[in-house]
This record gives sequence, C-alpha cells and structure tokens, in this order.
Amino acid sequence: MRRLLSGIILCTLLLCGGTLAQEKRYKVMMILFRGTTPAETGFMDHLSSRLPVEFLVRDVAGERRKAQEFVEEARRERVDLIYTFGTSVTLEVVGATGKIDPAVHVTDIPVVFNIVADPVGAGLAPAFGATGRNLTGVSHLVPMADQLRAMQRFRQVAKLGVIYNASEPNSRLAVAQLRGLVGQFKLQLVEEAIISGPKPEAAEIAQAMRALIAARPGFIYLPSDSSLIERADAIVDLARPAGIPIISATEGPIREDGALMGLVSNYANAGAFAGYKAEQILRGKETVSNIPIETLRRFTLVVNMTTAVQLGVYPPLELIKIAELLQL
Amino acid sequence: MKDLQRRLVVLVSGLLLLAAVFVSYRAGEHFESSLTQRRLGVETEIGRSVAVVVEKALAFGVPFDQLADTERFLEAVKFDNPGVDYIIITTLDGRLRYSTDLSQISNAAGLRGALAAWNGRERTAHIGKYFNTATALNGKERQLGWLHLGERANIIEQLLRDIVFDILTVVVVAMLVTFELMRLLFAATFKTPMLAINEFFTRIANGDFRRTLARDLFGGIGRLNRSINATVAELNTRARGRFADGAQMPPGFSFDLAGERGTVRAIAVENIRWSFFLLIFAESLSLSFFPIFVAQFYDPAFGLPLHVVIGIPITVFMLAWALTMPFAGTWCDRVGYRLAFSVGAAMTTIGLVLTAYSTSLADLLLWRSITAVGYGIVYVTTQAYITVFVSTEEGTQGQAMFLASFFTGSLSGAAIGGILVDRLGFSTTFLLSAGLSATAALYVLRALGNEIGRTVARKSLLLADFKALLRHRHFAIVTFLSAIPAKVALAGFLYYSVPLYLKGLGYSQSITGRVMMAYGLAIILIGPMVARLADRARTRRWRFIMLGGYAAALAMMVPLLVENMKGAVIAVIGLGVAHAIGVSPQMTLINDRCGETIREVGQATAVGIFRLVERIGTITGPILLGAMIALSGFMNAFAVLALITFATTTLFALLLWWSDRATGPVDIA
Repeated sequence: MRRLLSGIILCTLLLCGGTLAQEKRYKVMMILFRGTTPAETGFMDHLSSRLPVEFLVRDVAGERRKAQEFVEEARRERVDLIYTFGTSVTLEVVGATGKIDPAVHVTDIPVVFNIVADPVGAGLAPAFGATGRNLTGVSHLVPMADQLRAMQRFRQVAKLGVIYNASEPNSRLAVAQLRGLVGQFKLQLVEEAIISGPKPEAAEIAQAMRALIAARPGFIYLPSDSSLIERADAIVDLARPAGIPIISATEGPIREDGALMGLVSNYANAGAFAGYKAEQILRGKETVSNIPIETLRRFTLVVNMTTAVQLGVYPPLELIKIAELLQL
Repeated sequence: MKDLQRRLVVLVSGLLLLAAVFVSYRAGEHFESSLTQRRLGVETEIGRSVAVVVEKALAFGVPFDQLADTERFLEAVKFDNPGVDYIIITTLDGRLRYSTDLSQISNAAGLRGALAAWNGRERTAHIGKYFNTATALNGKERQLGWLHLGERANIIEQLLRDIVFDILTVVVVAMLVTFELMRLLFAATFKTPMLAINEFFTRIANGDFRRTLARDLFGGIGRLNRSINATVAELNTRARGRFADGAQMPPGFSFDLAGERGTVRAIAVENIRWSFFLLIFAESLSLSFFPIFVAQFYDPAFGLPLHVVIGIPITVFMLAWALTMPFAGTWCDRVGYRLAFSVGAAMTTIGLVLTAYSTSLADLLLWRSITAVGYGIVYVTTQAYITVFVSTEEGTQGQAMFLASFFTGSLSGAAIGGILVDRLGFSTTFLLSAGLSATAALYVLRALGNEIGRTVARKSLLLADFKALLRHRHFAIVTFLSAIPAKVALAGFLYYSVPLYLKGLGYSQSITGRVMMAYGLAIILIGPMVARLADRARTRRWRFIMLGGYAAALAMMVPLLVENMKGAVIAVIGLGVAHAIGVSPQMTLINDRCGETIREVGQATAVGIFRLVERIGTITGPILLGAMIALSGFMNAFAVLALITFATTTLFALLLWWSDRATGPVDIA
C-alpha cells in the first residue's frame, strides 16, 4: 500500500516538475527616469522569484529624449517586455493615445508602466481598466475616498481646503474627485485655484494660501501635481502658523517639506504589482491589451511626527500602531 | 435480541459517560496550575502589545496626557481579547488617565483605589474579583505610567465552561462511534454466528448433514463452531464408513459422502454498515474546513471572484457523485458488492491522498472527482446491499439505518475533522481520511462474502421515465419547489457558507466542525420523531414540507438578526430541524400523489430519478452562494437564499392547496 501511495505521489511530482523544466528565459528591459527606486526592486524581486528573467536596466537620467535610444536597443535585443518608470518615460516609449507613431513608439512589445500618477490624464489610456493597446501598468495614486477616510480617522474635520493648479490635469482630477466625495464624507470643500499656468509664482501661491487659511479648514489637501509639490515647503510654511495641517497625495511633501500626513502607495508594492502584471503577460495567461491599468489596494499611512508635535495635532493610537511615523 | 442490544447500549453509554466525566474532572484539576501560568503569559503579552503602541507615540513626542483616541484603542484591544475585562492606563502616582469602559466592572471605585495605592513592586496581583497584570509605560527618558490589564480571577471556571463544549463534542462522537462499533461486534460475535448455527441446525433437523460452519475469527458464539463441526464431521465419517460397507442410508437423511461439505455463512448487514460509516466519517473529516482549504489555491488570474472559485470544487464533487450513481448501481449488480465497495473505497482513498498533495485548483478538481466517483459507488453499493439483504418487513428500518449511518458518520467526521485540522493541518488530515477509507476497503474485502446482487431486476434509466415523472404535476412541485431548494440550502449554506462565514468571524476549524455537527444531530434526533408524526398525518403530509420550508427560510435569516457565533449556531440547528421536518416526507408525498406514474416507471427508478434531479440543488448551491457572496457579502446572500426558500415554499403550499381544493384531498387507503 505504502509503495503504491509513494508511487502516486512521485508521479504527481514528476508531472509538476516537467512543466517547470520547459520554461524559457525571458528578457525584460527596464527604462528608468532617474535611477533605481524601491519600485524597481519590488518589480524585479517579484518577477525573478517566479520566472527565469534577464533584466536590462537602462536609465535616461532625467533626459526623457534618451528613451528613444533604449527603444531601439530593445528592438535589436528582441526583448519580451519593457518596463517604464514615470509618466514622461512612458509617454516617450509608447506615445499618447491618438499620437502614436509606429516608427518611434513601441507598438509590438508589451509595455508595463509603473509610478504614473494619472495614466488617464497623461493620455496613456482613455480610462482605468484594459487599454486595448500593448500597454498596461500601475498607478501609485491612492483612491481619493481612501485618502479622505484616513484623514477623518486621523482627525474628524468638517471643512477641507484644497489648493490646486487649474492648468495641471493632475490637479483638476483631484479637485473633481474631491467634489464628488464631499457628500459622502460630509465635508465642506474650500477651493483655491492657481490660474497663472504650469509655473506659478511664489506670490500667487501665498495669496491662494492666505485665502484658504482665512476659511479655517481642518486640513488642506495637496494634490499630486508637480507644479505644487515643488512649492510644498512654502505651502506648509504658510499653513503652519495658522495651525492648519496639510494632507498630501504623495509621499515627498510629507517626508521632505513637513506636510502632516498622507495615505500613499508604497513604491515596492507598486513594483510587485507591476511585476505580477508582467508575469501574466510573459506566461501568456493574458494578452497585455486585456490586463487592466490599476492602482494598488494596500497603502501606507505616513505621518510626519515633527509636524504633529509642532501643530499639537496627534494621531490616534490606532493609527500610531499602523502608520509609518517620521521624525526629521 | 433487541432487548439485549438495548441493555448493552445503556451499559456502554453509562460506562462511557462515567469515564468521560472522570477524565474531564482530572483534567480540570490539572488546569488550575498550568492554565493560570499560561493566562498570565497571555496577559503579559497583551499588555506588552498595548504598551508598545503607547511607547511608540511617546517616543515620537506625543505628550503622555495628550494621547489621542486612547479609549477607542483600548476598547478595540479588549474586544479582540475576550478574556480581558479592563485596561487602565495610570500615571506613575496611580491616577487613572485612560481606560476602557468601567461601568461593567464590579466595584470600580475599589479598583481605582487599589491602583492608586499600588506600590508597583508586584507586577501581578488579585484586586477584588480581578487578576491584575501591570506593565510599565516608558517615555523617552523615564517611566511615565503604568498599564493595568484585568481579567476575572475565576478564569478557570470560565475556561472550563468553554472546554465543556469540546468535551461534549468528543463524548457525543465517541458514543456514536462506539454504538457503531458495538453493533458490529454484536453482529460479528453473536448475531451472525447465531443465524449461521440456526440455519445449520435447521438443516440437520431436516436430515441434511452436508454442511459445515465457517471458522469464526471473532471468538464469540462462533467458538462453538469447531466442536459442532467436529461432531458433524464424525457423523459424516461414520456414515461414509457405513456406506462403504454397503449399508443403506436411512431415508430422509443426506450425508456428505464425497468429503466436501458446503459452508453455512450468515450475512450481516452490520459488516457493510460499519465500513460505510467509516468511509462517510473519513470523507466528512474535511467538511468543516474544505472551503478554506480551497481558498489557498485561489489566484486572481482565474478572472473569477474568490467566493465563486471556492464553490467550484464542492460543485464538481457533487456533480461527479450524482453522475456516478446511476451507473454505479448496474455495475455493482454485475461485479458483486464486495468488489464494488472495495473499488469505490479504494478510489476514494486514492482521491484523498492526491487531494492532500494538490498543488493547484486544476489537480484539486481532478482528485476531488476521483474521490466523488468512489464515494458514489460506495453509497450506491451500500444502499443496494441493505435493500437486498434486509428482509422486506424491516425494509423501512433498513433505509432508516442507512441514513442514520450516513448522518452519524458525517456529523462525527465534521466535528473530529475540525479538531484534527486545527492541530495537524490540511494535508495530514486528508491523509488520515485516506487511511480510514483504505481501512473500510480492506475490511469489506475480508468480511463480506462474494454475494452477487440478488437485486430486483434493475431497469436502466430511460429518458421517457424522466419525462413521465417530471410531467406529473405533483412530482414537479415537490422536486422543484421543495427538494431542490432544500439541497441548495444544504450544500450552499451549510457545506459552503458556514465554514467561510465562521472563519471570517475568526473562529477555529474545530468550532466550525462542532457547529456543523449540530445539523446532523438535529436530523438524527428529530428525524425519526417527525417521520412517525408525518406517517400519521397522511393527507396533510404536505404541511410538514411547508413547515420545514418556512423553518429553513427562517433559520437562514437568523445570522442577519443575531450576530456572530450565536446566530450561526441557531441557523445551523434551525436548518437541521427544518430539514428533519421537511425533507423526509418529500418522498412519501410523491409516493402518495404520483402512485400511478411511479408504478409505471418502477419504484426504484422513481426514487433514483427523484434523488438525481434534487441533486441539481446540491450542485448549484455552492456556486450560487459563492456568486451572491462575491457580489454582495454574506448577509445579503443569506437573505436572498432565505427569500428564495420562502418564495418556493409559499408557491409549493399554494399549488398543493389549490390542487387539493380543485380535486379534493387524495384519499389514501
């Protein structure tokens, strides 16, 4: 009996082993914007733990035009998949919908992007979900409702201020989402728009902030908009004397500029999620055009405790337990 | 003989209970010392986990007197640790700073006083009715306060109350298994040899000396066989001697002159019953955790929601089982019960071993199908064996015995399986199942004779029979409005949802097993009683089915009204009671109302078709519930299922009431 059983088990094992042995080695090119981040580590760790993969890591070092060289190389090397970091590199590699030039842009190699705040606004796809193009990827933006929920758990507020740049799509998207959620969260929304264009003057930001502070909101929301993120230190400095905390959509302003808190995507997790999508494509389980563009579903709550102490606004213990606390 | 059996049952259960009480008592004594130590460890651990969070806040500069939302945090910790009665944070000088709600605490003022006066040297102390554990709360440079955690001091009593259920479970299952074993032993050592001796002597009384009694390995009454055989052999030798001398044989006597005598063997239904019980027990071990086992093979890449995927293996199992049954019947008639049962049990064994080593959903489905086919063969073989070898007068009793074995095995398996899997894990439990199932196969190989079916000629299933029955209004009403919904509830609610629901509430597998056991217990305890009542009710029998339907609908609504465990337990018991009331009269009602059609297609075929069609419910149940849970959560799924049951029952009652009013109640002679 025992011999029969072990025989059966052995056969099962052999069958499983057989399928493993047939797998080939894949070539994946990674085109990065400015060096390797935890997002790439997450991507590579996920993929190499599941498939035999050779990674060709290429860095444009902030010069998006250089991406074209790497695209050429990818074609020569006949890579199986291209990974792109960030909105500009991704646009450079695949082109915006409706402006695709097959001579320049990649149309025949599957592309998985990562850390693109707003793939829809950037013109990579008409909506979240499957694109129908040779493109899929992960947005690191956290759903607005989750951000607001985290904010309300931190501190119940009735009025939320938002500063935004009317000429930036990411800003407009955030405000539109906030407007859609005020009813659900019983919030009064106070908006201050900056209208001078993509490079606002310090004076204009200061003016908008003064108007916001005058309305005494419980929090001020800082959208994922690079034109504002660049001025995050000024925004935080203006709000601090009034005792108004900033909730930020991205991690940078919390870590570097003293925004109080934010619910943000962990780069390594976003990388692993992108890796999962790449795995589906390489295994042939799903074609790239059918794999949806998605955001993560698990996020990190980041709290700048130096700011918390300065403002005297302390996170409740249940958040302290789970949050990443920063002390600068 | 019945009386002897009854007295034996009383004796054995008495002994068993005494033993269980004694063992539990001794175990309880042991508790005091070991459990106090363990609880102490647990409390210190909980205290530490709270202190870590508070200290994290302090380390990052939150002032000790400005910790935010602390009450809510402490209440959450208390909720997660049901043993904890209070959590209090005091300053160094013992003033209460933060605490859980103290209104339920006996003598809260005394507690405050005691904490204020507490010197901080003893980390654990009895304060009033509570056992208090203190943990230091350290700020950046120095200690800032204390965290006190209280648990009722009579914790042993509390734990004993919890463990009583465990003990009861084991006692109930032990009793059921013992009764099954006792029946087997009783049959093997007493009933079978007695029947054989009886037949032997009846033949001798008629002058037939040509038989011998089988060698008896169990050593009961059968020990007499050797001397009886020897005596008869001696008589035969002498007769042969006389015959060789040319003497005439006396008329009316026949002797074994060739020296080869046939063996008298008695057939005992208990032999197959025990193996059947063992096999059902083996297969049911996984009942309480199977959906959770399946969940680990889930991959979002399937493109289906988790809850639907979990339902698939149960559905496939039921489908394979249902499809096997019609073929298994004819096959077992051809090859004999011994071979059919052994092959079936062997397939189940192989299926279970492979299940233990499943690596993906695809192989799991394949292995479960193999198991199901084996299970189906065993099920049909046993049913046929009992039908054939139990005398006609005891026919109903035979079927009752079959069902009793089925439910006893099933509920014992579910309860024990839950306890086992908590300790051994999935794979080992499946291997254990396989071992038991192999034992059943081997036992049948040894104990059963090579009887080939003396079955009443079995018709093969004809499409025309299906049509004839389904076209009969009453058959269709009972099948589609009562039988199928009942099976959907059984497979979808009990087998599929209950394990997942309880797991979601954070309960262990052994508790799940125990809850599921309640269903079988309700059926076993209430079923026979209801059957008797329903037999007496005659023309009003359909009201039992209606009552059962409404009771089932109500039972499945209970989790919405009563939260947590309590709701689940009431629902499962309620469903058991509902099915005990409503399910067994279904076949009787069909017999009453569709007599003519049934005579046309044959009783056995009609039952077969009914059982086959009602399995639509078993097959669709898990997938249906899975889809509903994936769409809208447990509560809504339960509500929808309850509403469906309510609707079909109402329709069932209205249709029967209307048809009775139109034609007048059917008169049954």
